[in-house]
Formats: sequence, C-alpha cells, structure tokens
Amino acid sequence: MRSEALTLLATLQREARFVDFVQEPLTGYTDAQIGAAARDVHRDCGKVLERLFALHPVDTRAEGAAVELPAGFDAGRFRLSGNVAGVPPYRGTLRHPGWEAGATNVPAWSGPESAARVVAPAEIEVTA
Amino acid sequence: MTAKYAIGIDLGTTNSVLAYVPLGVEGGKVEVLPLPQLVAAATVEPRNLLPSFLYQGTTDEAAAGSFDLGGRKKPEHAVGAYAQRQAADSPMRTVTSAKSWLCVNRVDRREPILPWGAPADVPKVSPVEASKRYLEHLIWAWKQAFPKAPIGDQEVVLTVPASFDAGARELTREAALAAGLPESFVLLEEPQAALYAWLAEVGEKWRRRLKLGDRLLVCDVGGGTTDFTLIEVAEEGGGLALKRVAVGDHTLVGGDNMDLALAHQLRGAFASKGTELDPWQSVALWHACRTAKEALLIPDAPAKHPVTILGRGRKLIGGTVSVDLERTTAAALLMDGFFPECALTDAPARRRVSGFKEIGLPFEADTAVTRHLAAFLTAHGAAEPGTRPTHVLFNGGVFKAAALRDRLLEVMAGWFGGGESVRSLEATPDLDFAVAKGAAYYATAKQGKGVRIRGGTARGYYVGIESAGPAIPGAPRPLRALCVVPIGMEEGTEADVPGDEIGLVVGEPAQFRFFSSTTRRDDRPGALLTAWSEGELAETDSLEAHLPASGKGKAKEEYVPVRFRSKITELGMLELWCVATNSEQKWKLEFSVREEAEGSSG
Repeated sequence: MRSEALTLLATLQREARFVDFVQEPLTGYTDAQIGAAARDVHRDCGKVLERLFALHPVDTRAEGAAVELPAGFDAGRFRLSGNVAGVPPYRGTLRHPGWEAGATNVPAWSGPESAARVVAPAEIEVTA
Repeated sequence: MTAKYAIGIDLGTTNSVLAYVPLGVEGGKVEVLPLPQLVAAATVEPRNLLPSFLYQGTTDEAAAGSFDLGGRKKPEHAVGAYAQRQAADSPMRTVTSAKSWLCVNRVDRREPILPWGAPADVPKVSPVEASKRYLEHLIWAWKQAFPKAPIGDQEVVLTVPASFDAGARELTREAALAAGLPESFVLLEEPQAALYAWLAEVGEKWRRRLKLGDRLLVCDVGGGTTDFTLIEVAEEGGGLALKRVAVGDHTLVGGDNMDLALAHQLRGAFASKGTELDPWQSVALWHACRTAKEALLIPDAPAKHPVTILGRGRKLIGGTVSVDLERTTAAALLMDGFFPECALTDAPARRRVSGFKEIGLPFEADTAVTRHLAAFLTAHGAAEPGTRPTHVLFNGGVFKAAALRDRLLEVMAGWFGGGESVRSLEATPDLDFAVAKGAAYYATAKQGKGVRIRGGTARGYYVGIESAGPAIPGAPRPLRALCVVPIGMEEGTEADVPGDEIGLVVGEPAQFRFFSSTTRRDDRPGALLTAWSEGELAETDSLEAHLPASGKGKAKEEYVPVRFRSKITELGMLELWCVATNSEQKWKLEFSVREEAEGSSG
C-alpha cells in the first residue's frame, strides 16, 4: 500500500514534471527561461487537476459580488473574515469563490513494497 | 437474455472508445464508458479514451506486477495510456497503428509481425491479435462497470472505416469474436456512425434541416486515415430516408502526417538554436505540434504559439528549449501541404511509397486531402450540379481546427462556383466520441427506433477468372473479372451468380484472385469484365476453397462443376459459396490473408 498523496505527486511529476520544476533552483535563470518551462508545466498540471478532481467554485457568484449568508450557513463551505460580529445573516463581499472537487479520481496503485515511496523511477536509456 | 444496453465501440487507429445507452428507457442518454487502464507501471486510472497501443514489456516488468489491473494473473503486456507513453520511450516494444495493418494485403495479418521490425527477442503479435487485445480491454472495462449485464447479451455495434474492404472487415470480425463480442454484433461504417451521432443530437428535426435530393458528404480525417462517404436524402414511404451512395478508397493520410510536417519544420528551428533533438524529444515535439496546430487554427488565434521541449533530466528549466511557431507559417504549411487549392479534375498521385520506414506502413504519396476529395467526387459522378454534395459533416480530430473546416468549404465553393454553396452541418461537440456515440445510437435504431441509413454494400466484388484457351509462352493468361456482388447489395439477401460453370479440382485448395470496386455501379452478378480502366478494380485478399476428395477414383483428377452464390448476412458480412451444379453440395470460400506474391498489383 502507499498513500494516495504520493500517487498524486507521482502523477503530477509524470504528466507535468511538477517535482522537477519545483525542485530546481531558480538562481541563474532569466524570467524568460523560467517562463518558457512554466508555461508547459502550468498547462499540464491544470490538465491533471481537471481530470482527477474536476474543480469548480464553491460559490458560483462572481468574485466581488455582494452576498448574504443566512443563519445556519455551512461553515465548512464559507470562511468569514473582516468585521465578523453579531449573528447571521451576514452581509459582505465575495472575495474568493473557493474551489471544490467534483470528483476524486486519484489513480489506484498496486506496485511492490519496494516502489511504494518512488515518485518517479530512475530512467536508464539502454545503449546497444 | 434480452439486451439491456446498446453498445457502440469505436476501435480507432490511435484511440478506442466505448459508448452505451440503456434500452427501453424513454429519453435514455448515450454515455461514454470511463475505461480504467494503466497510465504508468502498476498505476490504474479511468480515462474516456483507450489509446490503441500495446506495450510488450520485459519479463522483469511483468514479474514486478507492472501491468496488473487488479486480477489474479500477472499480465505480460499493457494496452492504453501507459503503452502509448512507452511508444515514445521504447518504440521497439510497442505496437502502434495495428488497425492500419489490417488492410495491408502484402503481409499476413494473422502472423505475429508487430511491433514491425522489432528484434527477435521481443514477443510479437499479429494485427488481428493486437486488435483483439484492445477489444478485450474494453470488454473487461464493461464488465467492471456492469457485472450483471454481460457484453455477450447486449446489442453491440463495432465501427470500421468505410474504406475497409471485405477482407479487412472479416479480420476485424475475427478479432472481435475472439475477444468475446456476441455473434450477433454488427459492423457499422465510421462515417455513417458520425452521421448517426448528428441525427441523435438533432432528433426528428433533421427532417426540417435536410430536404429531398440533398447530398451529405461525410469527411472524416482521423489520426492516420481519411475516409469519404456520400449520403443522399431519398424518399421512402412518403417520408425522407437516408441512403449511402458512395464510399472512398482507403487513404492513409491524416492528422499525424500534419503534426509530423509541423515537427519537421520546427526541427530546423531548434537546430539553429543549437539543439539537436534526440528520438525521445522528437516524439515530444510531435505531440507539442498537435497542441500548437489546435491552438493556432481556431478563430481569433494568437499570431504565434510557443512550442517547448522540456529538458529531459532533472534540470528541467535549464534544459528547456522553446521556439515560436507563427500562425501564418503553420497555416501555410498545412493548407498548402494538405488542403491545397486544386481543380475538381485533379487526381492525387496514385503511387504509394514506403515512406514511414520505422512504421513500415504504405502511405499516400499525395498528402493533399483536397485532391483525394476531388478524385472521390469525380469518380462517383458527384461533381455536377444536381449530384454534388449540398452539406458536409466533418468528423475526426483534425477538424477541431476550425480553419481546416473553413478551408475545405472554401475549396469546394471554388469548385462549384456561385449559387448555393456547400453548407456545414454543425459538428457534434466532441469529435473524439462522435463515432462511438453514433454507433450506440444505431444499435437502438436497429430495434426500430430512429432513422436508419440504407445503401447495402459500398463495393461490388469480382472473382478473377483465368481465360481458357491456348497459353502464350511468357505471357500470363488474360484475366477476366466475374461480378459476384453488385454495389448496393442489401443485407440479408443472396444472389446466384449466372454464367458458365467452373470446374474445381477435388482434394486440393482452389484459389481465386478477388477484386472490389467502389465505382462500377451498373455491373450485375454474372457480368464478366474482360477489360477495366486503371483504378476501377482494386485487388484485395484472395479467396480459397478446399474441396475434400471423395476417396474414390483416385487415378483421375476429379472435377466438380460449380457456380457461385453470394450472400450478405443480416450482420453485413460477405459470404461467397461454390455450389455444385450436379449435387446438393456447397463450399464456402474463405479469405486467404497470407502474404501475397511480390509484384501483385494493388
């Protein structure tokens, strides 16, 4: 068995080179060099998140909209900030619509114990 | 057991899809089945597409359980996303394009020949076996999702290119039955499936969108093949009906060629930056070019799109090289190379060359889709006012690029001049799934719901008969072609072929050369052709019958006089029989897909 978190990390590395990107020191590279690589890593990470988690906002109203939270609102879905006093309903501005997973499709892993902690296997290109 | 589901399977050259719809449920929606598959060693994830790739792993990988799907046995190979990935890393162990091999009649498609050109110690499979394994995986996925509805009890429709001849269809059927599809499954042509998907979408409104005499061109450009089909809106019982009137020849040019052309162009740009791409990076470049093509050929596309090859080792940023692909460059390359302006009277170069050495497949010398289309329309008398297409339905991933759809419409407008132009039936939203969904819809239409496209066989078939008469030394006996199946022969009908009796030798195999035609629509069964123009008849797999010896009278050669009887089964399969004229006996002719002698013309 291995943790699903590690399988997710392996997926991000395999499909988007996420670990390589974050582990590489940025010193010595120009913004243009970083940008060139980041564009691809960003796009491919996005594809993985979309496929595995089908992300959508918790609150579909536009960012910045005036909103009202009624009594008995779900505190797990809404986080309050600012001038929080008194009792609901609360009036305020939607600062961040949140993210929610529409699915959890983390791949199932069935490899041997010796590979349980491997995020990416070492690659050997066989010559003749 | 009665079927609970209608299932449509698109066994594609590069991707396979399974769609299904519950039967007998009012307003039942066609769904795409998520297909759990290996995406890396020992890692299973559901995807909607099953890449049609087969990876023949090493015994170490198999022993480590790399190809496990959760069963008890340790599989020795992988199909799907992981195998597709391995095609880049380990091409010698990966089977690609098995479907295209099914119609290459210079090789024996039941012999283990794939991966093409692989070293001796790599286990090999036949094109039929590879197709079977993809289908087995789809069936396995179905079983995971619907354990109480065995696929053998369902209404199943499997799609094939319209351009597949009887031999390739027979091999597909063989693979499908071996994989476990029910005997009753039906083959459907892909362009028709695409049209069914459109019909499923617009519903009964199609009768208002189209009128009597309209002609629909289904233009299907997939990853590796281009397929044309012409469908006419006819009258039947006072209402409108759809009739397939023509299909094109098998054309091995598709989106992959376009991406490779872009990649070839960019390779130079990378070289001038001092980066020579290794094989692994070349494959990455190829995929990057597909993304760039789709990004640059949409309305309001940016002027350029960066094509980036990431560093291979841990130094990702340091090893990354990037070049900009200009929209104008990409558009010019693809338009001129694949969709050039041409005349309706133009014909593509017919010669096929073995270009893709690493793949070994014969591919088109002429990559111009527009010239292939011009030749198709001309060959089928569909170029004149009154017979030419009024609408186009685009199918295949290539047409995700709007600019290519527009270009094809423009070229056709140029051919047909003013007046009513050819209109595009707005495409189904997702071109990747249209064929499978349309096939599932057709499986319900078979049960009497919804409209059906009619038309019978797309090809006529001919048995080669060597002329009698004195042999001329050094010259082959002239060959004549006997029509046994006319174009448009309906499913569930049979025909006794009139003509002279033919003597078959008992106790040894009788072999016949076999030909097909998509254009000779006036030939009836029994018609004996002594001459035909180039391209009218195409030779396909030969046919073989084995008449067992009776056991008596061994001294003399024993002849049985026979005539032919042809039959198109309810499932759309061609059967050809030799029927003895002096007894009740008959023998079925089987396709012989063994290697053809060198020099046989195609």
